Amino acid sequence: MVKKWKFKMNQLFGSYRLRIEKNKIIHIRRRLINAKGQIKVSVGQEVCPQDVVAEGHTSSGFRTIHLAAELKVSRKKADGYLMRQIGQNIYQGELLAMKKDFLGLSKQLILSPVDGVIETYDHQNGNLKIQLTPKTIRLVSGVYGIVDAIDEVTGTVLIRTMANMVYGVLGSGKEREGLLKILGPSDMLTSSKQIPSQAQGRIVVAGGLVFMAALEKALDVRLNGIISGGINASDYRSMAGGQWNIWHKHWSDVGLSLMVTEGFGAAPIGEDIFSLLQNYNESFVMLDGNRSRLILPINEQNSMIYIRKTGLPTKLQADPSPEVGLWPIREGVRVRIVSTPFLGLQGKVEAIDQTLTKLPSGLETYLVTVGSGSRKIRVPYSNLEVMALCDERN
Amino acid sequence: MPSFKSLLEYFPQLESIYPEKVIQWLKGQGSGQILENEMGNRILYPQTIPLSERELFLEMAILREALKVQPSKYYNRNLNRLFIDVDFLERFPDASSLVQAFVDALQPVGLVSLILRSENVGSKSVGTLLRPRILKPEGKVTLWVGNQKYDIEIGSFITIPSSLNHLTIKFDSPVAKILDHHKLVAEVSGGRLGVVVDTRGKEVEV
Repeated sequence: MVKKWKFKMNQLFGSYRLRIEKNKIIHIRRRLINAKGQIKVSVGQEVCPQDVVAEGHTSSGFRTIHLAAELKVSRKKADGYLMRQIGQNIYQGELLAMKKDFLGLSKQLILSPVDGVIETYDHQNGNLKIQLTPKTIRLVSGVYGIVDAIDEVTGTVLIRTMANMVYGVLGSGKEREGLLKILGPSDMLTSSKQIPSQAQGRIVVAGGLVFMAALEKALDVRLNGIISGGINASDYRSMAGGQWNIWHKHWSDVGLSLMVTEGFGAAPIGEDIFSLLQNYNESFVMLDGNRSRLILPINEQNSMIYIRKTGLPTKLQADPSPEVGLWPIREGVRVRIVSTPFLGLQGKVEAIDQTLTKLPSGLETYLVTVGSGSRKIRVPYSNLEVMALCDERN
Repeated sequence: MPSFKSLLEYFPQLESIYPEKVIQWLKGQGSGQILENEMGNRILYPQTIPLSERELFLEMAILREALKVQPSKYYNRNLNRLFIDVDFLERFPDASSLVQAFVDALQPVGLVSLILRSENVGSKSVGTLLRPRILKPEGKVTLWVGNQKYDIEIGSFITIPSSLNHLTIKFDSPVAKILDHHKLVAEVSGGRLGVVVDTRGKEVEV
């Protein structure tokens, strides 16, 4: 319930920004990507996270392996190292080729990266071609919810569900989903070493700063998304097509979705967001980088009671941006510092100065004392964002 | 109740500014990456105000580049008028540095009226800028403001306070010309911003 405030003539107002919305009824879109298929649910049907909502088959294609180059042998001889014959089936992870050294003490193994049929070897360029086996893809709901609409043309299922929403301040990349993995503490500096090699399809929480090398490795190992407190401006701009892309947003995607919760430079993920993310470690989440939005589905069966009660317009429409605005600053209110050197630090207003203070910059303003743990920090009121509204809504 | 208008309110196109250009105004003020991050945070949180002098310099550098995005809004070359929004004086309390930022960005020449612009009160002439053409890199300009004589070295940027609304100035220099004259007597406006003299010469290279 939102309390009524008594507005005073000399009341200080700070900016507020919606960061977390709990237990929100929303629509999510589930769609088969890179596959043709059939929708397995009907409008009005209630679904559980493990229910298959669509099933499809990946279209067949080819995968080329640079066999001669990988074995470091001549193009004419490379097929002599194949452990399967041309025309044979092979499954992902099975031995495709092997080369022993002179003494037979060490050997180089090449495993098949895909399921398929070994089709041809080209002696001209040293490439081996594997025809992919068509695969059945089953798209599960991932959430408790009700199917509100189906679009057979695009293969999209619109599911009404309940989720906790987290809004960042910056982002890039289309909506991607995956299991959330927290790599370390909220202030961790994430280089390529911290990005796990076996995390394909995951959305990782990368701490207080994610370096470019880590972003590059994330692309290499096919992570679906990264959440961090901060990012260097130059790295963010290169992901966003060379632009700042903050207020005048254009969609960008480099094959990885990104959400930044605090700002530019190193800044620990705010404790409000990080504590919520910890509850979702190893859970299914959806990250929409371009909207700087993370959807954390509520996987409790009794959420269906609220989902059934709440209707939403089924027309696919643009989601509104999270709210920003002004809110009164008063003692006891939770705030977040939005200027360096304490960017992202959260605490409570303990005192508000009644007289102006001249800052080293020459500006005169009212200072607010913010208590955060054992620390007390005096900050100009305009360098704070109020978190009260989010708290009260929740 | 002081409330500072953010630069984003004046310059909606603030995001089109290249950080490389801003950083060039801040040589020796820190690493490029840190400055670029700080600039990004200024755009992200435009309501925040600079705490330190260093942060104020960054804000000034952003202002310089922002002015270049829409110069005609702040400088009328035909009328020789430089328009400064009154709110800028709250955000940048050192008036002389503020005028210098406008000069660096907009490169006015000659005798220029400094006009303070306010949404509520309208426009008011509050000073004059003298920006002569410099012919030699060394020497000085002699300037009389009223009865007071000033010798100003070439390469300077100074502000001479003057509370009078109208005053007479006399310009004399063998190494500089103003309005194509080595010597000039003119009636100019004084006021809050005073008489500002810029003898740094050629465009500031950035």
